[in-house]
Amino acid sequence: MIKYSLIVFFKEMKCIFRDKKTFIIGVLIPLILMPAMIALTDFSFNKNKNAADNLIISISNTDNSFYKFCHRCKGITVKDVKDAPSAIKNGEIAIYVLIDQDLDQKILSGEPFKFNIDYNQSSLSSVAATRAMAQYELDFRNLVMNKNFSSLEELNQAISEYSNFKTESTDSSISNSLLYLVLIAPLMIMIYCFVGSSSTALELSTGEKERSTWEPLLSTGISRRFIIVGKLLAATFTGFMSTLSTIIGFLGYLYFEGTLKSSGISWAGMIILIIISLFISAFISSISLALGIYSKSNKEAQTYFVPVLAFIVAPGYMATSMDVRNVGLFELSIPMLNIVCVIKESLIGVSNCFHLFVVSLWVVIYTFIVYKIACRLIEKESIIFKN
Amino acid sequence: MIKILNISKSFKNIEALKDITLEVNDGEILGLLGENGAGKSTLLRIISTMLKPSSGTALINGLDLISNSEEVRKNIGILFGSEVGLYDRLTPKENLEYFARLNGMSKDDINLRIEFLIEEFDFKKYFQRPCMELSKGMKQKVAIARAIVHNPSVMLFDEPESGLDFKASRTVLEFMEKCKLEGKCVIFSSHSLENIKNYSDKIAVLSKGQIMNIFSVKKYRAKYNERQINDIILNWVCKEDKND
Repeated sequence: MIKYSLIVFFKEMKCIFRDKKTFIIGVLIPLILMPAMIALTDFSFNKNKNAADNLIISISNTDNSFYKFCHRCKGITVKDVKDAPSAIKNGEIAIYVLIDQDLDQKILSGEPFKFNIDYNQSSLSSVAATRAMAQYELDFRNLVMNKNFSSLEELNQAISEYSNFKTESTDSSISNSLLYLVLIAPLMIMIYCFVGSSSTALELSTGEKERSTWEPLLSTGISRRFIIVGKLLAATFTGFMSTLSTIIGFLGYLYFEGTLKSSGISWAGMIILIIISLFISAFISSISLALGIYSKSNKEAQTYFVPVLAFIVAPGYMATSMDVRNVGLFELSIPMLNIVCVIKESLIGVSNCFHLFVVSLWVVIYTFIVYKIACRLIEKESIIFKN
Repeated sequence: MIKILNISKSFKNIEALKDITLEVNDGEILGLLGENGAGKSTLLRIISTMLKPSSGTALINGLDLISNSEEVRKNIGILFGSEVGLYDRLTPKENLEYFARLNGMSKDDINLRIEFLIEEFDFKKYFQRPCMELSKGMKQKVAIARAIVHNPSVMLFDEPESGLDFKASRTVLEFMEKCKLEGKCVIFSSHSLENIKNYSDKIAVLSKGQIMNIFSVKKYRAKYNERQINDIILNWVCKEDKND
């Protein structure tokens, strides 16, 4: 069996690698995609960080101690605008602070006072600015509350003493982008595994039909199971290569950026990531191959593949928002959800060999079931001669 | 040698073949003639084990095609006329090697056989070029070579000249004759009455899944002129039912 399957495998690999497009799409693009995404994420977070570090705000009342406080803070630019809601919407100001008209009197009499902040919920910069503003508000309260100022002059004096005061933003672009990537990286790895494995597996099955090589191939003296195994190996290998390129690109970027150590990804985690990507490739390849055998053309196979893809990705997507430290055996038996859980574990530095074993076992079982279905399909006359 | 014994084939409610029995000896060409849907391709696909008969069986060189399908396939070479069915990114040599290996040939045997086929089909000039760069005629030659790379004793040609120009079509038909001279057993189907008459030893006329008649071309030629033979054949091809 191995001999004939390897003949099919090596022939398919030869065909795949003679096509430059396959190499570009399957290896080069995944290699640069993740670093590009991290770079873009960093750029986006840095932009938001700038918005938080250089706050442009407007305040409802100008003749009070908070207005003066804001003027003295280096990280705040106070703008006077006529129409605050429009200014927020247009991005002219990040936030609008509504304060009590008699703020200073309340401070002097020791009464509580309120700050209401208006911001644009759909703007990340505006959202980041509210976090920074909250810090400034806290600093202002610490500065003026329970100090028993006897006069306004005393209050103004206290504020002027803090004229060089600058609140440091607690945002860190690196930690934010890493956190973001830990959320999306498993999905990205999974998607690239899908792209690499499925496109190859569909091409290896429907491509034979479209080139009219299917009948000559099936009429050779070997069992059709060997043909399926050979093609499955080829599609798995291609998908694995794409996934590996994605992982190398991802880890490579963190390494050169100097954040690999702080990211918490261990060597064991990396190995688990590589092993699990091999299993996902095999699983996706088997599904795509079975669909390709069932369909008479690539177009028909794509039609079936879209809902199947959605059906498979859904549990995987669900897992991106799960706390992987609390997953049980039931979750580890659900296809794709289990895989994303293990990927997430390795990305946050948890190397759980038992989880890897359970997930691998399930993936092997699922792959074998789909392989058996493909073997049944390839023997069916109504499917071989569908057209 | 092919012995077909009472083969019938149904697809859902359609009876594609009805009780077919015929025999083709080594060194003999049987031509299958019939209209579209007469059952020619179905019969060839059953012999090549791609389809299973609903009833009946066939013996290919003494091997039962139902119980021994994988062995039967090793004894059969098939050529489909309309499509060459080659891997475009592989060279002719790689295409031949692939099919030879899948048919269980050893490395030495493959090399010897390919050397022979290079000479036979005058491949040398384009043997190292990918098939996608070859002309249709060249591809057809490679397809023929692929069909016989494992030196099968039974050759099946399903409308081998369809879609080909005169020159390429002649190459295929001459090759078929060569197979016969080498002692191979050949069945070919065609829509061309002239080709069937000129290249077959025996003709089986199929209509609606039934064999209307099997006759020796040599014997008919001794009895009738070409026009009379054509009329007789057309009469069978167009017959609605055997008992009409």
